[in-house]
Amino acid sequence: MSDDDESLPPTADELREAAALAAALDRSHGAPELPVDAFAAAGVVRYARDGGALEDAAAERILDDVLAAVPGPAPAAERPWWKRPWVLLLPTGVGIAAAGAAILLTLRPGVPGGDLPRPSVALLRAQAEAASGGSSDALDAELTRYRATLHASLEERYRP
Amino acid sequence: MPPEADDNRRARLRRERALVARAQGGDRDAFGALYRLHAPELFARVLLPRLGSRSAAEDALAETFRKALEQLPRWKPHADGLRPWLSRIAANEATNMHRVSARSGRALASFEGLLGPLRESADLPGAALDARERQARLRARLDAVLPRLSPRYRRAIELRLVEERNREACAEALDVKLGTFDVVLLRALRAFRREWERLGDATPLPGGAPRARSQEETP
Repeated sequence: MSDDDESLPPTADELREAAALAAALDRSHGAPELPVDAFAAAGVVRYARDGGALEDAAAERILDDVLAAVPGPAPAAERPWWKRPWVLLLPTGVGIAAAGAAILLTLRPGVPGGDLPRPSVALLRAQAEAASGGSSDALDAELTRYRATLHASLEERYRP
Repeated sequence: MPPEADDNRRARLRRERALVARAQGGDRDAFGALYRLHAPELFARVLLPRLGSRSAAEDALAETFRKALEQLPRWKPHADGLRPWLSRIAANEATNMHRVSARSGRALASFEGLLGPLRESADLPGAALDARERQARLRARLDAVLPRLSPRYRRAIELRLVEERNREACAEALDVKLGTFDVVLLRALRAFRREWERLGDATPLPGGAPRARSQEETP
């Protein structure tokens, strides 16, 4: 047993310390006389009793306080439709496309063929017959005739 | 570390990394999940032993996570996850709280040194004792120390700190005046501390003298 002091009358210092300890255990606020050795021992007893468990209610209250104290990223403000990026980009895109088309039409060389001789009905029939497995003699004859007509047309167009 | 424990740790770190990535993008639910993952350990193993007061430890926990929330977008992934980083913030917060305790009038007394080998560093995930096992060891030590005190001292501690009765009820149970009970409890706690240090291999606090304030108790 190590409690030899049990029957001794308290000293003045002890009385002050005992009062400060009692107040600290109740209110968690200390006076200058607080005997931290005894207060720490009280902490160990309580810690051994509950393992320092953080109560669920206290944990959630702390989390709420933390989230309230630190503002989150501001949500993006809703813009009117006429200020949205795609609205601003649309006229620009249309303008670029129109300018491109105009340049192409201006710089594109004339393409012959708009008024080339059209293939005859006989040529189309001969192509259909050859494609379905029939004789290609008629097709050869019609193609020879069409080439002659085509060459004559081209010769007429590009004659200096 | 046993293979199962290693697998569990890796899985936990993977989940944590996913939560961190979401929280860094502003997802507050993910931050809440990280808080619930780490707050109990930080409270029980870092803050409460260093501050000795539940209310102070709760305030320090709030400040720890407030700073974590602010700094998380700049946090770089670490092999051991968030825990070492959070433990450092919490330990600094406890130190700051001791620094200002004289001005705030708050009663703080670290008992970290009294835990000795029962204390573990919260930033060593591999060495972490299961919380229940840790508490069982503490409880066993408490149960071993209390019978070594005089019946009156033991009863004073049990009434006030185990059963959490108020002072008046304790004085009445011991059939003494209120002021006398306060002195009995003071002496009982000093006797408890001596036996706690004598029984176990706890590291005595430097000096350990009665009246030694804050400088010795401050982590």
